[in-house]
Amino acid sequence: MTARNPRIRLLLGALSAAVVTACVALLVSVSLAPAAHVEATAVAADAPAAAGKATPRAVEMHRAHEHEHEHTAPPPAVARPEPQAKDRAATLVTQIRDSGSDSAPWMEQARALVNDADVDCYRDGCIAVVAYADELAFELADETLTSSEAFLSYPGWRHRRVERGASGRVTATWLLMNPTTVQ
Amino acid sequence: MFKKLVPVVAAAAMLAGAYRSADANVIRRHGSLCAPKYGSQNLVGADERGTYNASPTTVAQVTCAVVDRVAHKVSGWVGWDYAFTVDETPSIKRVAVWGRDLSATTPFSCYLFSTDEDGFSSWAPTKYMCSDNSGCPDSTSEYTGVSRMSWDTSWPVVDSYEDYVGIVCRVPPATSLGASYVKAIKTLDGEEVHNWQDPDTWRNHPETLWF
Repeated sequence: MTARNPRIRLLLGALSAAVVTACVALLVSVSLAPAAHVEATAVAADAPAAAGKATPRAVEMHRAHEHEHEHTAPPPAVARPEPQAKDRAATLVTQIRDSGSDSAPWMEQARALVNDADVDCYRDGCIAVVAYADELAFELADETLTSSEAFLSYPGWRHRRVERGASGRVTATWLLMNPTTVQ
Repeated sequence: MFKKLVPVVAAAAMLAGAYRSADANVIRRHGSLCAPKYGSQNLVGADERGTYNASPTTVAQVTCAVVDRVAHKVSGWVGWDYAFTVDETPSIKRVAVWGRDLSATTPFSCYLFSTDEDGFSSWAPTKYMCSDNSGCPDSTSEYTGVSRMSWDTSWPVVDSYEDYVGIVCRVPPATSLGASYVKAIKTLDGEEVHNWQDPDTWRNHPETLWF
């Protein structure tokens, strides 16, 4: 399409400049939006009533679009599977066992915490299994252990998985993590 | 003329379609939301600065509940004309406790714990208040001042979908005028954790609490 009339060409030029400017402005607002959101959501979390006042223009624009498409299902991009609690004990046990055998001073401290249990130590942590006759025996022993100074001064993460058998027997698996590694 | 605009508009549409931003967020809880351990009831008080140890001689032990979820906004566009803003509640990535240590002889220490309804429980290493942003692993009894301690709570050590989370602190008696405090607890969803030491990311984590 060619416009020979100078006025029409001028009009088309202005129109194309406006479109390009709008695109650039859109991209700039997109790139700036995350920083604005941080402050907006922080305010929203602490004072929901004030959230509207502090919401930046970008978020308002999103919400306007969201309203227009309120009958459309949310996009799958934001779906995030919830981690399973039981998986994490298995994850940690696997991580410890896969780290390989090792010998280090911290392992003696770990063994001393549960000195009446079988303890297997690896580079990433020690695994100790302790069995109790019933729930009460477990609770009392657990309370004594976890309130002891030795337990509280252990310099690494400590995790405990509890399994209850049909007979009422309780088995506690302690995962005493290597305190020299990051966590 | 219009043909020249087509690539520009198409490029803008593609860029907009790829856009998705996830905010970082933090949930704050005032330090007065702590309960004394048995034996510390007569030692602690609470005011607008938090929970404090009023004893001039004895360490007070308090347990503070921690918010275990942080919701933040995720915004973006799908395609050209679909814009969305939704709440997302990922696992918490970091918990920080702020305090004031006015003892030059007794350490101020805290540890974080979490417990699941299925019995899985975790205890974080005890940390000691010092000038370091995340606390120190060893006792720092000589340190005095306002500082913080923090723990990386990324899954699998803490599961914010399932766990109940708390912090236990040993608040020392003051050796100078005033009292030692648990001032605040912050739970972060971790979008900024990798920049934890970067001052530019401290918009929501100021160095000073003005109370």
